[in-house]
Amino acid sequence: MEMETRCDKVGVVETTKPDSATCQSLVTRLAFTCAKRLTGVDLESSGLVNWTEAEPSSVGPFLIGVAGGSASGKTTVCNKIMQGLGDRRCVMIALDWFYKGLEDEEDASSYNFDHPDSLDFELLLLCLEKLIRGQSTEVPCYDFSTHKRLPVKRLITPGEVVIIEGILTFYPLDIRNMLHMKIFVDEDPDTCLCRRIRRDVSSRGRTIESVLSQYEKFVKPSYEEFIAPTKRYADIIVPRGAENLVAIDLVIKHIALKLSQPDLRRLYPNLVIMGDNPQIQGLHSVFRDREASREDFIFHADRLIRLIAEEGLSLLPFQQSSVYTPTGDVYHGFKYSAELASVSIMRGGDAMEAGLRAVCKNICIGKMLIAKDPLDPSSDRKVIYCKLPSELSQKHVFLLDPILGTGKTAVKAVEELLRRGCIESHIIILSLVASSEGVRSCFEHFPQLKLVTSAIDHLHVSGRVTPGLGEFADRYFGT
Amino acid sequence: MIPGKSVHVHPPTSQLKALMTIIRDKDTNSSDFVFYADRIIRLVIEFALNFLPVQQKIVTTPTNAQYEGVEFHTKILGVSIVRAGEAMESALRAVCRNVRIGKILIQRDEHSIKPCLYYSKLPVDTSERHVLLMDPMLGTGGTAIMALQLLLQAGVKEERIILVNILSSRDGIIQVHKEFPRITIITGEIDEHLNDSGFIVPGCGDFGDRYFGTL
Repeated sequence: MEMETRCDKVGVVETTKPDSATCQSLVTRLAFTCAKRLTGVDLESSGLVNWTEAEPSSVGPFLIGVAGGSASGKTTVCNKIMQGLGDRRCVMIALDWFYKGLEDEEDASSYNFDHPDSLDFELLLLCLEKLIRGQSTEVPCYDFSTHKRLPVKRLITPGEVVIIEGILTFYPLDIRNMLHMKIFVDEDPDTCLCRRIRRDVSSRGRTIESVLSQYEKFVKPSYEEFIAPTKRYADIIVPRGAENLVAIDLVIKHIALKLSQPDLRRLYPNLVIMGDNPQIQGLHSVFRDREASREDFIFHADRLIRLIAEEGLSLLPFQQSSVYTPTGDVYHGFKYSAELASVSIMRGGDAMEAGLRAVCKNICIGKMLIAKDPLDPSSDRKVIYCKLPSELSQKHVFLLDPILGTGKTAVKAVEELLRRGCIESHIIILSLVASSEGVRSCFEHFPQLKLVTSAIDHLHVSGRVTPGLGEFADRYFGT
Repeated sequence: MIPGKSVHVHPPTSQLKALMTIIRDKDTNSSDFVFYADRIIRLVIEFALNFLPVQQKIVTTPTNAQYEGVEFHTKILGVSIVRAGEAMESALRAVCRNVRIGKILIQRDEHSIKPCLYYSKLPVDTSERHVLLMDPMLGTGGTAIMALQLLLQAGVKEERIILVNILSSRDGIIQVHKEFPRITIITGEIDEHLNDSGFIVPGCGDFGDRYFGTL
């Protein structure tokens, strides 16, 4: 009986993995807090291990977009989120600051402030890019009574969380794609109008008549045309606005969880990094060593590959299954509910096959060779050879690539798999070491795919992964 | 709750649970039982090795960069409790080449139902080593306690012993821990009960018989 390749799609209950319950963190450093989480024991106080402090993360801020109709309570929701996050460095940016404003001869009553053209999204994009790089940025100040930008600018310093709040936050594609979390505040239109009248009359020096005429002429039509359609991009829709304490609490908990993850997993939920225990560190310390003999290299790489394959298997869908044990009692467990195939990217991926076969008997393994055209070295990489198992669209696919460097090869391979009918969310890349750049590249191209790795390294300007482990296939195959 | 802080259950992934489901199923045939039991054993052994001491080690990679890692620097010894424990030896060998393996044979006396030591063979330098005591099932804990007494008599330090099970009963863990509070216990899953004949419930039957095909 072959478990891994059995297809059983009746009554599939997708059970998500309980996040390994272990939590994980950057492998490049030993953080004793991680081991404590993993093991439940305070190894440090037991005197067994000398741990060093974890390095601060360099993954950039967590970007949250908050959109919704005018006066729907966006700002209040944002404030509550910021309060809930306590001492975290939180930066809030209002889309209102980026109004282009009126020319001298223009009449405010005939200007549509709810139209995307009224906002300077290009400037917003520049500001956000700076904040993502960890730099301070200047934002414009806008005067709502004169409808003009003030000559002064405000300095915004980078934070761990950046919240962008405004009616049209999800409207421009490039900004929408930058957001790690999108919240749409949904409030009853009557309530919104009441609030808007109160606010504009009391704090922005307007008359009720002008607010109402603007509402009928611009606010409502623009909401329907530009704002409401962006609701579908939201990750979370919060009804009843700021009164919805449960929703706000959930959002705060999620952000706090993300902030507790010091690495790329904060940005990419489909990334699994499994290397934060001494065991995996120990394996890395052997085969990364340039002095390691070939025998040692293969032995330790194989051990790690086997662990990675087991981790990959745990990302597959399971369904509930109850069995009788020999004592006659019932055990409530799981069984695999997906058909699995594997594709190795030559040559490194071939080296991972033995480890995979050790845990999946009879798995179908396809091959792909991706390289630059030898006659034209300046060309892009392309698929030179490709032999894949049949019916890929029905299967979950492990894509084997031991070292994820720039990610270009993996992206090419995934493109090819998709072209052959694979489903993006069914592709799981298994790698030993991935560069953060490669990880970013993969997820930016294919946010749905999953990636398992045992360590995150960096990409050197030369295109090599550092500290890395050299040319994997050469060391494994002895060439 | 299990007393003490040195009991560690393998993270309960769906993956592990699916493997457990197979070996617990009474209808699983012998070859599947061995294949999937071996996979669980391998996972649990790799997990157990995390609890050995490590020291920091910096290596130079072929790119000439420094990698800050760790190395295991202690001498270890695997001790299997015959017969079921022997099923765990190949997994230990697969991850620790040339590991020394001692054996302890403990059987229940048919009249008194008390465990009785029949045979043991340990290397001469046992007392200097960290010991992985291997027994797939921890039922009443009687056998494990006897084996642990033997290891202590051989001079092993209590805190250097890691008892590795793939399935433990809550009672067994409590009993063992009462006697030896300083050892570390690693297990794949914990079952709540023991039945009247001392089997773990729901358990997976007699592990040794199923693994070695002597049903």
